[in-house]
Amino acid sequence: MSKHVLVVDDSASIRQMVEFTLKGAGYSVTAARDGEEALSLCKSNTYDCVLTDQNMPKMDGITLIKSLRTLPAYSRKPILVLTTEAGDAMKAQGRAAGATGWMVKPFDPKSLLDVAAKVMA
Amino acid sequence: MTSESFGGQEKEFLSFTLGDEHYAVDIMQVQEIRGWEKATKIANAPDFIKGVINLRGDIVPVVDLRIKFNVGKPVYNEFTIVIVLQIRQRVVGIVVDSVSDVIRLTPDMIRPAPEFGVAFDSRYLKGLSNVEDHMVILVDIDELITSKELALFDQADNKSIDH
Amino acid sequence: MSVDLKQFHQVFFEESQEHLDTMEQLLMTLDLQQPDAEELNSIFRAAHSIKGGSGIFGFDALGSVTHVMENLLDRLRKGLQQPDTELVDGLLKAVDHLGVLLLQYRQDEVIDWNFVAQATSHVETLLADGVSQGSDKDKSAPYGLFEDPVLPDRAEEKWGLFEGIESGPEKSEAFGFFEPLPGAIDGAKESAESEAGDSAFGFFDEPASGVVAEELGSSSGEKSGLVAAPGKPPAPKSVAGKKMPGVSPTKMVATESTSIRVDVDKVDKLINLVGELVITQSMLAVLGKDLDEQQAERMQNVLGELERNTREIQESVMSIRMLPVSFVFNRFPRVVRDLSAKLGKDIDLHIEGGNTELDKSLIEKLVDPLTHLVRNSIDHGIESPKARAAAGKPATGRVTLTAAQQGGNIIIGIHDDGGGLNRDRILSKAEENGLSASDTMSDEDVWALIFQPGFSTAEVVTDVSGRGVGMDVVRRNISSLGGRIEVSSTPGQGSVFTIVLPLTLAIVDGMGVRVGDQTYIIPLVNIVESMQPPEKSVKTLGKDVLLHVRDYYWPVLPLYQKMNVKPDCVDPEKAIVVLVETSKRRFGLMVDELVGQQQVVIKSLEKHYRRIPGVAGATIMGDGSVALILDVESLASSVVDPVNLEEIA
Repeated sequence: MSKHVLVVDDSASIRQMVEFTLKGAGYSVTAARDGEEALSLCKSNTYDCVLTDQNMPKMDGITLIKSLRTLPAYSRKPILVLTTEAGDAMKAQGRAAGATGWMVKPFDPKSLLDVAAKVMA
Repeated sequence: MTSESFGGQEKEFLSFTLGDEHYAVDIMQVQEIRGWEKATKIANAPDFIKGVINLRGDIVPVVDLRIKFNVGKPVYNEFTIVIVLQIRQRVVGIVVDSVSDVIRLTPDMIRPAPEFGVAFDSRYLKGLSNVEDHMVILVDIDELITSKELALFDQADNKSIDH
Repeated sequence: MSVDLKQFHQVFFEESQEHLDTMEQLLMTLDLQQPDAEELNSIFRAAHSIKGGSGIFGFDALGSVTHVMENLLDRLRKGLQQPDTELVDGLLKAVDHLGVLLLQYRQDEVIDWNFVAQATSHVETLLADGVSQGSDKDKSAPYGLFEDPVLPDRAEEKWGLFEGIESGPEKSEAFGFFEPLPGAIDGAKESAESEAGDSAFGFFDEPASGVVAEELGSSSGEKSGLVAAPGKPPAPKSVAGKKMPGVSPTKMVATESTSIRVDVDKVDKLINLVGELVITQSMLAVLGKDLDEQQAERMQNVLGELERNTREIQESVMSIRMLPVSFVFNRFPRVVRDLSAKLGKDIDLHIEGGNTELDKSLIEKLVDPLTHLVRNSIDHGIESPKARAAAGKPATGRVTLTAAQQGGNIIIGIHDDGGGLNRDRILSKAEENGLSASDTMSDEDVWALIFQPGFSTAEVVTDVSGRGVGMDVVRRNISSLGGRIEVSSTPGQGSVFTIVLPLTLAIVDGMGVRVGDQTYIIPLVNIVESMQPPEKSVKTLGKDVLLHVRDYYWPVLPLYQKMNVKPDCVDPEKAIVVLVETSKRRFGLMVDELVGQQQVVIKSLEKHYRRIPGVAGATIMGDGSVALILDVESLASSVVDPVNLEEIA
């Protein structure tokens, strides 16, 4: 069984790129375009890892992470927040929301796979 | 299945006849009513499955409940009616002798179905009601059509459409 | 892992253009007195998204302009700066500048960096007094160097692990983990701080000439076979584009957006409707036959026109669902890399024809059989480096995946330059397994044995090819897609597996046959020949009938028996026998009459009913009636074993 990753990003190109990269490495990938869509997907599916953007319409990444952490199925799942802001404020927010880690955009496919491999080891 | 499943509200049923008996199904599950047309035979299917028809591009099975439950005579003429039902995600046609009326029933008008005396197994019944001096048997069509007894769908598929 | 990011460029261009349009629209209608917070947020997000994508795809010029815009917009949405007419004008101008740059990237033009610098400083001047660019250390960088005041060493780290994970060896990091990881990760070894110290450099230390850009260049260059693929939801290719092979996407890009993103469901609905149209059109053709002569001729002309148009619509709509086969091929560099390492083999993978297009549903179902074949080539095909050296071959083995369109079919090849199939071993293995085989068999027939159930020639069962799943499953998978598989092999030089697939799953070329009052469709791909059997060629053997033609005894399966219908004739000499071929065996199907060859739209029976043995699906005929499409492959299993019959006969 390949690990199933949920990718949340409002940008189609980034979604596709992340999806393609992860799929190429053998992961199953589902994509959502905002926090709201992701949350409803998570309520009916169990993913092994959630990779979410921060700035999105409808529901942002931090709110999504907070909401996910209230779901028993996601209380311990790795959740990564993709952000262009690597500053401490962003990290503190992510940490407080319950994220497992952060990843700075832009990133290249290799570092994406490195992170994925680590959190889903 | 008792009247509680109607939630205390008045509900509409489509009544039809099989032989001399009056039956009714929840009108919400009726997609359309059409005349009988010859179905394409399916090899080695039980005789009550008349075959499949083309319903605007969908291939839909047609079941003759008269044969299955041995009521009335399975005749096919210009008066024979097919009630097209939507059961969960599936579409199925049932052959009946005629369609009578749309009847409105409130829960208090429905009595529990007897264990015997009706062609259908009581599992597939919601109850009985009297309408204009005759008895109407309310069929739990969802339960009937998806039953193993009719074997219309693969069992694995049944599971997948349950959720 | 090399990913050709170019394939996502088109989508990025489109969405960036959409973002620019959004920004423009929102800026124009912005209420300067009481700016709507959500509108400001949306403008910010649009700039932010373009910046994020440009960073990843290496469009540095876009990145540097949007970066400063983002800062300004962030201040606006936080209320730190009030928008005024001048500022909105300035932002609109910046949007225009971005549009120019976007177009330059789209058309593969050289970027004018002076223009970029002007555009950037133009936005900088819009920042309110007192907010100097210098206060934000990474302002000048087009993307990503963030200073971390707490952990300055991590300034160039692009990812990192907070407590709970070991990541010491990571040289460059662009991600991080927050501690304490809620159990998802075990084996905490190093704290974030110490590991941060280890990460000495990051990915993006050079702003303009970015490392990323270089990496992008190299990764797209080395994978020439992997061609831009629309992702999910697929960006449908324009039909015009499809008909111009060899024209690179960038050349086709006009100033306007050339494609739109559409939900697959919408496309499928359209395909269904066109299927209906095809049926309606053939119904009309049936009706047209009843007209009198004069009208009939006019009708025929009109019908001919309608048929042409319908076919063209159908082809155009089908092409929307087509995806490049690279969608499947792209996973194999990784498979080959992992497997060859595991087996201690050195293997180069070559991909040709990755941009050949195939129906989406076929692409998805091709993954398993192809993976099996590629694994098989690596495991059993390519020899160990030692054996290769001994045979005077280069130590590095070569596996080539090819795809090409030939008429209405797609041909996929898996080539290896290994030792080739071993005739003797296959024969002895076949005998061992009780399969009928003889030394006099042609090579072709011997190779075909490997597709028999339970056949495996590997001397050692490895965990790579496994034991349970064999070539028979691959063959079954392929034929369930309406295709077939062949193998050819030359000792010492390698083997080629060839898969022939229909372009689409939705339509099949079939022969209509009549039995009694029922019509059935036999897929043309299975048909060898149809004939009224010559008297002398019919042999009976107890209850079984054999037809001796083409130097072979064809067992005859009366379709009326199988389908339980009343036929016109039960005598094989008066009936028509359709000779068919499947992966398992050859046999004849006895029918009353041939109705004619036609393309039929495949409809699912299982949507509202269940699987029927011997039936692959249904279709709607010209008169509106339903005809079942026969599953010749599964009918074959009810045919008597031809070899035993051959012996007796």
